[in-house]
Amino acid sequence: MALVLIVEDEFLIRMGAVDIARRAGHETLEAANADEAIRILESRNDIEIVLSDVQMPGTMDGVRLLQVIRDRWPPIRLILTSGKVLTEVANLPKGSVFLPKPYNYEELSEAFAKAA
Amino acid sequence: MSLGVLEVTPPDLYITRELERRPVKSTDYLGEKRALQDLASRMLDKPDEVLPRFVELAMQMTGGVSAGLSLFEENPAPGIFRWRYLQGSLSRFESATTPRNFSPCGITLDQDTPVLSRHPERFYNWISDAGIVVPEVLLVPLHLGTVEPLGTLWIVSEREGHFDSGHARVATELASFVGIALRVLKTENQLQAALEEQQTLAKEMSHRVKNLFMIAQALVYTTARSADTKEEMTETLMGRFHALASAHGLVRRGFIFGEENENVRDLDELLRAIVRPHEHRSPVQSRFRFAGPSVGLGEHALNGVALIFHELTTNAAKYGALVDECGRIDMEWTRSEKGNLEFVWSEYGGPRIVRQPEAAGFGSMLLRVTVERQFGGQLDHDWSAEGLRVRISLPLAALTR
Repeated sequence: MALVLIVEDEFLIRMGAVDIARRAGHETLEAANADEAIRILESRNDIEIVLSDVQMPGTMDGVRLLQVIRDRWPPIRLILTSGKVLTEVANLPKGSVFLPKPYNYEELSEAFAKAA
Repeated sequence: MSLGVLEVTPPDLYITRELERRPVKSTDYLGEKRALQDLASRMLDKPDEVLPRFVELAMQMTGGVSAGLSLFEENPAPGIFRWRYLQGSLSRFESATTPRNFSPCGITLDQDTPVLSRHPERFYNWISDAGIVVPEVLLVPLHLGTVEPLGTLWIVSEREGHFDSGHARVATELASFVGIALRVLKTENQLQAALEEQQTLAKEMSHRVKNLFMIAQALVYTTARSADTKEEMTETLMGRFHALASAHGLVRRGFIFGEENENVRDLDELLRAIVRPHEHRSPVQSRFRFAGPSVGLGEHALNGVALIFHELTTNAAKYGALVDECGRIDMEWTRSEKGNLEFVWSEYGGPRIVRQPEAAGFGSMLLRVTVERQFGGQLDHDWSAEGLRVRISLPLAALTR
């Protein structure tokens, strides 16, 4: 079971994602935007998976955030989630998993398993 | 520069009357007709390709050395003309702009008839500044349909004394076709823009619907975890959905696509929508009092704010002022100098509070987490004997998002 950082600006959705991840037996950390996520990543070295939404306010959107993580913390497994369809999302970092919204418990677990 | 009043122009600048005095050169009526028929037949399919051809034809059929359209644009006031579809010696000035009220085009629009001008660069400095010499220019107004002219078709000659009334007739005829082609083009562009907007709107809606499903799912999971019975879960969940639905009802009413800021709703309006189900059955006098300045809520903040007041209202209905018909609730808020919304929720006339409730249920957790985590605000409960008083402080900046 892994330590997962969940990055999502909509508080209720983040709460739901945390709930699902915990049911799947993972531990969770939360960030409401990319800047917060980077601060958390800089402060510890045990995060294994980052699950991020695409559209977020602040200096970076989710795609940009995952690109930065891929560069600075290459071993972290990345999952990008969005209400958009995959074809509308450009420049997804290599090896990251796309999880379309809305997702349920099984789909999130599957994404965790696929993230490499 | 004059603004809307008549130009005081030198007498030899506008020589339109000369057109009638000059002998008319022989005209190739048949060639003219064929060229026009050919172009007119392609106008509906390809108006953007036909327009340069019309201008070229105007230049050829009048023996000019350059020709173009001047299309009127309202901004910046008092308006400008933009040169489009230029042909011949001046074609390098494509998209250049010229003044509405200080130009041969402006005069043509004012008079709404063909106009002939000699060496306009001697009077209008913007022409001479561009290094252009215009021995003669023939201008005819362009009509888009039957409304007032929205530009001109103009043809420049190589020497003075060139244009005659026959040229003016040909140019006027061509201008009517150009007007139709422009109109077709405009309609086509509007249609295209509307279609694109529709597609973007559909995508945006699908995106929002998916987000709402995620929110609903999150509420189901978390409510299920804290509810003891099916009935309790159903009731709690329905209440929360209702709060979100009323928040979204407010958004939908003001929904203007592409203008996020237009989706702002007022706090007062949201509060009234949320507490409405708890109003007296026959309200002689409302049991709720709302007092505070206008506070705009952004679409993003709306869910959270709706849930905060839904949880407070639910709590009041279970344990506080809304338990029976006697109680009432005051809601007062101000904008602080520090940029916060300072909100006070005061309950009166409910069951007497004997001690502070100890176990914080999921509702109070949701309330606290929303205030503190989503908005970075503060929440204080004060259980006095006469009723609960809750103070909430929320950064205004977070509310308008």
